[in-house]
Amino acid sequence: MIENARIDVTLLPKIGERLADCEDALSLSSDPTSKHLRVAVADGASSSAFSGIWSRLLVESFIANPFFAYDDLATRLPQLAAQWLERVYRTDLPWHAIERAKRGAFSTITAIEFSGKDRISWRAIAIGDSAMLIFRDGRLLESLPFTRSSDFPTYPMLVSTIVEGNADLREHVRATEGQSEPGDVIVLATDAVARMIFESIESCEPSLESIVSGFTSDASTYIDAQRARSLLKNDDVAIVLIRFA
Amino acid sequence: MSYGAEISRRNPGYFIFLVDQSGSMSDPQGGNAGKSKAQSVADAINRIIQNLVIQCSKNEGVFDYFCCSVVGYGKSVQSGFSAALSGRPYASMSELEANPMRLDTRTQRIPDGIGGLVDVQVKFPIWFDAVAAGGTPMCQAIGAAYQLAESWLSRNGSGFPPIVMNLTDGEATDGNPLIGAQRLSGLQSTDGNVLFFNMHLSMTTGQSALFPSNEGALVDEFARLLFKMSSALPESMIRQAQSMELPVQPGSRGFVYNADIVSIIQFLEIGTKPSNLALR
Repeated sequence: MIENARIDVTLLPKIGERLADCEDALSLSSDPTSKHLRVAVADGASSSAFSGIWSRLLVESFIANPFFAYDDLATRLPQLAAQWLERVYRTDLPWHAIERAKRGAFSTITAIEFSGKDRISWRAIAIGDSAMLIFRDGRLLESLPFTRSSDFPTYPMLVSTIVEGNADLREHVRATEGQSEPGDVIVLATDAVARMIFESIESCEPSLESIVSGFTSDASTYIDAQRARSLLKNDDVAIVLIRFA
Repeated sequence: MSYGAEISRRNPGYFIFLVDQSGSMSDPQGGNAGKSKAQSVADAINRIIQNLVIQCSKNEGVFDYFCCSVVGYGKSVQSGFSAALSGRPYASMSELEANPMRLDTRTQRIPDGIGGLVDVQVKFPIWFDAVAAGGTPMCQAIGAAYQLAESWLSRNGSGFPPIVMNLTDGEATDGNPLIGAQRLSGLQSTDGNVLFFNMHLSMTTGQSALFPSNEGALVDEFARLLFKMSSALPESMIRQAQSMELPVQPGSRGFVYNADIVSIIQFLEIGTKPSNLALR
């Protein structure tokens, strides 16, 4: 079933910005033997420095070696933070960039791994306000870490490059697992799109079908239209849609 | 009127700084022996601009999330910019970053990436030196801010409203500044009224005050006047200040007395701000 998954990905910056400025990241990979499929999205906090580099490191780390618990993540954070520093610091950085970098980078991560041949199991983890939603027969079956649009916090707890920034992280890690069936639609998205989808579920407008259609046909045009209608906040967008045949 | 408008390069915020450069500013600041009020104001405005540039720092460049004006008032009321920006009514953050008056070199300790720290020489920009001469034409300065804010609002009527920050020892010599402050605070965008904040430096020693919600604890008559002139912090800024564990509450005003006002610029939201980001 995994080998028959249809996957659509969209990564777009805010209006008026370049893709190179986008601080959202996504990554996916499947085992050549199709034993598993891993997908991760992350949203680097725009109020922190070099957070696009940090969000990319987090999704790449999950894809290379997935983690589903705080301890699994915590053990690799020092090495990831060192990689971030290595990519960021140069002695000729301007003063403001050094000051920003000293305050660290912050990012969400929400990721899922599917495994199994005939019957697909999945495990997922979420930290921050990027979300995973699973739909079955047109209805929301499961979601992580939120269940409704009002759950989105103003100031989410994120994964940081600095040790003191992660002091309370353990209690903010959310993880769950389950099984997928043919026809399931799984969405991983950063906060702006995830919130829009929750709001559409709550108001029944637009329908799930039109959202799926929008993101799988011409996602850029669809996103522009939702932004123009103020249904989607002007924020970076990372979304992955997975459909099992 | 939610003070929730997006602050971005497409919709930048606008700061107007009013800097008291009167003769009385050469007096020492209360509780800070050896440092004049003028020097404290120069230090504060330089740190505010530095922090604004840091807020706008993106990877290695500076995004123009903010624009700002500086009005100096003392012997005259005029643009406070110097060097290449001299006489300019306003400048963007990238222009300010590129055009300081001079660069001071400081030693900074930064992580070396392998678990240690390394000392590096970092050049810090200075835009303003201490100035203290003449009277205190605060009413005229507030009038100049009114003109600047009105002009900005005519071009940015739906954005986050201008924030006016007055750094002073409070003794206006050209009338009652409360009237002009109320007129200025009456200007509005569709997102909210102009915010007028004050940093008061006094010779009086004693307790400082940070964003008080009433004037009860203020012993200085000029402090009480400046408190009355100051806008209440909008809910969105209170929420952010509380997340930084600062002592603010509903009704807190944008007023500090013999204290640091720099933190106020971090009350503004630009994109996702994590709860565990210590921006102090």
